[in-house]
Parts: sequence; C-alpha cells; structure tokens
Amino acid sequence: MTWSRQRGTVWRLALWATCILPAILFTIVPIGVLVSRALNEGSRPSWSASHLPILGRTLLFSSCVAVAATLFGTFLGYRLGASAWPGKSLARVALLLPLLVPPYLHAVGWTTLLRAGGSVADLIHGAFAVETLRLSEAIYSFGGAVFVLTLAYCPIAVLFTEKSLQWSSPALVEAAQVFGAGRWRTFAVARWPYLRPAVASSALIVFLLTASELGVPTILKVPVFNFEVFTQLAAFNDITAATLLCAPLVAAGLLAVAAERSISGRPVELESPDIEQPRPASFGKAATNTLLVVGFVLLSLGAPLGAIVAEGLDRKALTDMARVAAEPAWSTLRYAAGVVVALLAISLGLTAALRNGPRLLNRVTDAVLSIGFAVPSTIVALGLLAVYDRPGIARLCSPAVLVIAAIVGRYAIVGLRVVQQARNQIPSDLFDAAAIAGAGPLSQLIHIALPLMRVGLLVVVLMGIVVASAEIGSTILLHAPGEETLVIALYAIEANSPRSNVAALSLIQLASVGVVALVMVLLATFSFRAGSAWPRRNTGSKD
Amino acid sequence: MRIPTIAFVVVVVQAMSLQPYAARGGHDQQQRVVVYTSVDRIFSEPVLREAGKRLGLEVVGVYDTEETKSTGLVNRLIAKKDNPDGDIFWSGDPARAVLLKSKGVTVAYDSPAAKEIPDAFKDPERHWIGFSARSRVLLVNTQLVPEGQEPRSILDLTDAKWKGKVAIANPLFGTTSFHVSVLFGALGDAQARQWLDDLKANGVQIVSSNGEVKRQVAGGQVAMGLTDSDDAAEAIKDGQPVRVVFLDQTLRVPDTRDEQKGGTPLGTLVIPNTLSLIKGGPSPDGARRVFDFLLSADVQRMLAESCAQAPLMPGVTAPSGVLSLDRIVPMKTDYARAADHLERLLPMLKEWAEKK
Repeated sequence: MTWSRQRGTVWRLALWATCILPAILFTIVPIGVLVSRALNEGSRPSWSASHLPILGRTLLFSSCVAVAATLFGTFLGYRLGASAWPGKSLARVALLLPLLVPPYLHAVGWTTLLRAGGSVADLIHGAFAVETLRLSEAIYSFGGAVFVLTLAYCPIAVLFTEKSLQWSSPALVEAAQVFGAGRWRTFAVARWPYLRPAVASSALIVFLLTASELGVPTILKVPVFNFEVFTQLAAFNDITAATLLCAPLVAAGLLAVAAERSISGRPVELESPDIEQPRPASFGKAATNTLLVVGFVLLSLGAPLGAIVAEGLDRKALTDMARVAAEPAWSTLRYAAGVVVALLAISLGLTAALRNGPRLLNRVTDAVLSIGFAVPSTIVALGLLAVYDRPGIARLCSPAVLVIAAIVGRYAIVGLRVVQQARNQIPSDLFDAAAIAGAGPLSQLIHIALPLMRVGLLVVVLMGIVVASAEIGSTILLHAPGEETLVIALYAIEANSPRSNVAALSLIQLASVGVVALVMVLLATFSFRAGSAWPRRNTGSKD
Repeated sequence: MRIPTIAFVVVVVQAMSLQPYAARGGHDQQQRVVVYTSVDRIFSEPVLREAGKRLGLEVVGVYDTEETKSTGLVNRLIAKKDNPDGDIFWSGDPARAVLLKSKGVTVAYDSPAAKEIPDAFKDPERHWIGFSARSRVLLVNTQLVPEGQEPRSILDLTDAKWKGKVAIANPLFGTTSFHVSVLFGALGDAQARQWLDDLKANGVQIVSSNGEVKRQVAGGQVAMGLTDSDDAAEAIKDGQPVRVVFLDQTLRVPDTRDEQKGGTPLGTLVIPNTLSLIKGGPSPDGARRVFDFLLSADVQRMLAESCAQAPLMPGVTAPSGVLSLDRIVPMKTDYARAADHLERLLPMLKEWAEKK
C-alpha cells in the first residue's frame, strides 16, 4: 500500500477495484436487480405531486440539521482546538460521547424527559408556568427533531474541526495579526483554508445521515420522504414501487456529495509537522471552554439519558431485560465486529487508492457509495435477499454476511470521508522521507499512517459499533432466526411493555455499546502507543 | 502495532462475526421450529417458550416491531419465498395471512386441533386458521371524559363535541386499516367515506400506531382513541387513567345499513390471530406439532390472561374482565373479503391520511 505521492496506476486500480467490488456486489447489484425487475414488470414510479412537499421538507430537514450541527460542532471544535488548556483531552472524549448513543435513543430520552405528566415537565410547569402539553408538543415537531439530531450529530463536526486545527500553524495566525489583520481576516487567511474541507465533510456526513434517518422522525412524528418509501412496502407491499420511489433520494445524495467536493476544493498540502504548540488559553477562556463542554455534554447526553436511566432504575425491569438482551447483545457485538473490520479495510483501501488519483475514479467511487447510502436500507436488504438468498448461494452469503454487507455498503461513504479527512492531515513529506529511508508501503502504513490517523480510525470504529447497533431497516429483514440485534429487541418490546422495561433495555443497549466502544478506544490507544515506531507528535496540548 | 498482530485481530474478529452461522450448520434442523410472529413479543414469547418446553423442540421466534408495521416480517417472508427459513406465521390479524396466501408463501394445513374453532374464523382452503381474538375498542381517558359521557357508536366520533379530541392510528397500517376496510363493507362505500371525511373535518389526530393511541389517551393529549383491546388491557394493567368502551353494542345509530336491514347493532370488530404454515419451511413435522399446540385451549387461555384476548374455542372460559364473544355483539365480518377489499381502499386511505 502506498502512502507516498507517486505509485503505479495498475496497483492503484487493482486496490480500488478490490475495495469497491463489495460495495458494487452488495448495494449496486441488488438495487439494480430490483430496478430491472420493476422495469420488466412495466412499473412506473408512483410519483405524484403530493410527494414534492414531503421531499422538500425532508431536504429542508436534513439541511437544517447539517447546518446546525456543523455550525455548533465547528464552534465547539474551534474552541477546543485553537488553544491549549487544562483538561483538553478529557473534553475531547466528552464531546464525542453523544456519538456512542444511537439517535433514536436520543429521541426516546427527550420524549421521556418532556412527556406531559412527567416530573421534568411538572418542574418546568411549576417554575415557569409553561403548559406541560406545550413541552411535549415542542419535542414532537420539526424543530424538536432538528434539535435532537443536531445534538446527536454535532460531535462529527467537533472532531473534524479540532483535528484540522492541529495543522494550522499558530505562527501563521500571529503573522496575520502582526500585519494588522482583524479577527475575521485572521480566521479567513490562517484558519479557514484548513477548516474548509473538514466543515464540508462534516456537513455532508450529517446531511446524509439525517436524510436516511427514519427512527427519530418516526418517533417525533415528522413526516419524511423515507416514510413514503416505507409506506409502499408496509401498506402496499409493493417492492418495485418502493424501489423506484428512491430515485429522488439518490439524486439528493449525489448532489450533496458533489456540493461537498466543490466546497472542499483540493486538500491543503501539508508539509512536515509543525511542532509548535497552540498558545495557552487565558484562565477566562479556559473556564469558558470548560463550561461550554460541560454544558454541551449535559444537554446532549445527560438530559436524555438521565431520563432513560431514571425510568429504567427498576431492579426487576433490569433483571428481566438483561435476560432478554443477552443473545441480542451477542449478535449485535458480532455484527459490529464484522462491520468495523470491513469498514476500516474498505475506507483505508479506497483512501490509499484515491489519494492524488484521477478525478474520474473519485467521482465513480462517490457515486457508487452515495447510491448505497441514499437508498433506504430496507430496499437494499430486499435486493440482497432477491440476489443472494437462494439455495446454494445462501451457504456462502449467510445472514450474518448479508447483515454486515448491508450496513457496510450503507456507511462506507461516511467511513471513507472520515479516513480521507484523517489522511489529509498527515504531511506527505513524512512518507517521502520514509520511502527514502527504505520503508515499503506496508511499513509506511503501519508505522506512519495508522498511528497518525488513529483518531480518525477510532471514529470509524465507534461509528461501526454505533451503526451496527442502531440499524434496523436491513437487520430486521436479514438477521437469522434467533440472532436479532438489540435494537430489534428494543423496538419489539416497545409496543406494549411497561415503560420501565423499555427504559431498562435502552440502558442495557447503551451500556453494552459504551463498554465495547471504550474497550476499543483503550485497546487502540495503547496498541498504537506501544507499537508505533513514529514518536508521538506534539499536538500542543500538555495533558 | 505489528503486522502479525493486525492480521491476527482481523482474522479473530471476522471469525467471531460469522461464527454462529457455521455453528448452527451442525444442528439438527428438524428439532428447530421458527415461528414468525407479528403479535407483540411481550405476549407471544412466553407462548413460544411454553411450546418448546412441552414439545421438546427448539422454538425460535422472529418478532416484528410496531414501528415497522409488519414490513419486516411480511416482506421478509415474501422475499424468502424460494428459500424460507421460517415454518409458521402467527399473525395478529387475518389481512397479512390472506396476503401471504395470495403470494404463494403459505401452504394449506387442516389442523386437527382446529376442529372446534368456528368456520367463520378459518380460511376455506385452510391456508390460515384463526384463534384467540382481539377487538377494536374505544380507549377513553377517565380524567377527561366522565363516565357515561363517552360515545357509544363509532359514528359518534364525528360529533363536534369531540373535535380534536380523538386519535386513531394511521389507517394505512395494521388493524386500523383492517377495521376501516370492514367498516366500508358494513356501512357501504358512500357512508363509510362520508364518515372518514367527517372524522377528518372533526380534527382527528392520526398517530403512528395503536400503541401511540394508547400513550396519547393515557397521557391526556387526546380524550379518546380507537385501538386494539390488548393495547387497552396493557394501559389498564399499568394503572393508567383509562377505561374501555365496546362501541355499537346497542342500536343507537339510526342510519346504519344494519338498521335498514332489521335493526341489529353494527357491533364491535373482532380480529382473530391467525396461524399459517410456510410452504417449504425447514421443519415441516415439528412445525405441524407447534401449529397444533398454538391452536390448543391452553394457549387461548394463556393469551386471555396475558393480553385479554377472547378465546375462540368453545368451552374455554375467559377470565373476568376479558372480552368474551358471548358477552358482546361482534361485527359480522368476512375476513378474506375484507382483506381483499383493503387492497382496493389503500390508495384512497393514503390520500385521506395525507389530506390536511
């Protein structure tokens, strides 16, 4: 694998083909088969004028969340990364915690917190004389859904922004200030060029994640276009109509990816790592940063999860649900493991193959992966069953393989963007120097790329765990009998179980995802520290 | 981290993620019966566990979720028609059983255990057989509607007195869609359509599911809502401030078809569970044994106790407080016809649900 600038085209193409092939086999082919069947049957998209408002609403919804999460996340990431202050590492971890919680659990938490008749609603009613029903109505609304998803997804922008800032030199900032540039001018010339790709990628990822989200809008009663596709399946049992109805979603996904490419521009070529530290923050600034982080964590995690914990603190419910959760937790863990490995392999491979590669290859990759993401996972899963669930093939493509393939096919573009962002932040001359010293591509990968990309890779690991534990559209169709995931178990008991059971199972899911994620973080951190030949780069923070 | 370490971790992780499939390959498939069920897991799981215990089989449930409205199960069964991994489909209503029959997913099985179940609850070709039944009821918030003030007929829900205070689940899905379809059969297209339009004009709240209707009524967001009797029973069991009203039990509606035909009340819709045998399922012998067990009096008794479902087998007495078919006036229903009729109604219902 090459991480230096020049490598052979054949090698690059071979690597690209190897990595893109699973995405083609497990997303494009199944979707293509369904579309082809629909066309052979003479089906036409059940598109009508009534779909236009809901499509518009969905795009507006996704854009609002993307803009809000990116702005808020960039602001927090900037505060975190622009200066050195005590507790910065802890703050970094705390700001990423909301990513560990599947979005629908955020929604369950907020509805529990603000439900009419609940203790918080009563408290607010007592203090501010706000009608308890108003609070409930506020969360069950477009604005409520934007609020919940903004808090859930803004850590993506925090992470990207903070990492980008590590490579913008404080000396450049000071130089701009010395030459009389104002605050905004300094930001524009010394910070923005480094931030721009990160901001664009964050916005794209949040947009795509929101556009594909069905759980939060369903819980908070916000009609989205995905629901139209779902209605074709659930009410009309019409797979072909549902498939053809996905076309606007695919078009929106492709446009979003093109927009992101256009906003990002070419990545800034970084030279040798700048050993300079960010300037230490004043006491007031450090205190403000700490308060901001604490406030964000309380709002995005403490409030909704506190509500779930408060409802779930029932020993009997916890015991009962622990019994229910045992097998699903194991299945979830297995799927998550497979998803993480496959996502990492594909993202790393494609990043290496596409780095400084032909623009066409980048565009084809974006198109292939965007289609997999934009088409609702239920449709992809039905396509997978149509193509691979046949006597004979089924032995090779077991339910576990199909579940993992469906999730990876869907989230590969997000993984790729995260790894590409991480790669863009490594100065290329490190690889050149290693190559001159005789290090081969694999050695460069192991000793330079992986350690320096570890935060990005960890994000992919965490994302893999979270999406594998939260994905329901495909897993409910593809899992083997007796191998349901935790989220299926949660949705299955949600209908008529006591609220304490729902809360207890939510808590168990959160705990299991959190523990696994924490183990992965620790394992990766210690492995890289112990094994890397490259000295830890001084990122400026002393903690 | 060294290359062999990475390679080792990758191999272990991938092996772990695929391991159970390989492990299951060695099991005797005849001993494992897979039951797909759209009945809430909280009610169906204990029954399947009991079946496994009594029959000495491994009975595995594949459950549906309320949020996915049986999309998971039904579409999965259709998609896996040529390579089924399930043996039995236990549906919460006949509509899905009729659909699967039309798609060629099920096979006829005239279970000897169903002899005493009335023919009205069976498919003539025995692709499905009904057993314990739920009913459609009006769940009323006791704090918002005093006793005796509640509507007595489904047609009363359009009364201006209840403007904005009634909730129903989206009529495109589940038992609500089936209920509307049966109403169209009972009232006739014109009157039923008028009733729907009046309901809309009266500000009916359309929510995502029957469970959500229950939550909205219990939480006081609405005064009342149409839901299933098992949802209602759960709300009562949870100590929520609600009570159940069986609608149309007396002749209070002067303009129903039934009155014109002789004055019998419209009645309450009774929706049986159904069992279907999956064609080509992996364990046909075990499946028949489980199928027969699920139709037994014991299971009907269990469901009566756990979720207030009315036994359809004569001689099985329902516990007090549980719906008993001899104590209510049921709506006359041709289940297969209603399910067929539903397909025709769906585009209109979608338009109605989306209308502001």
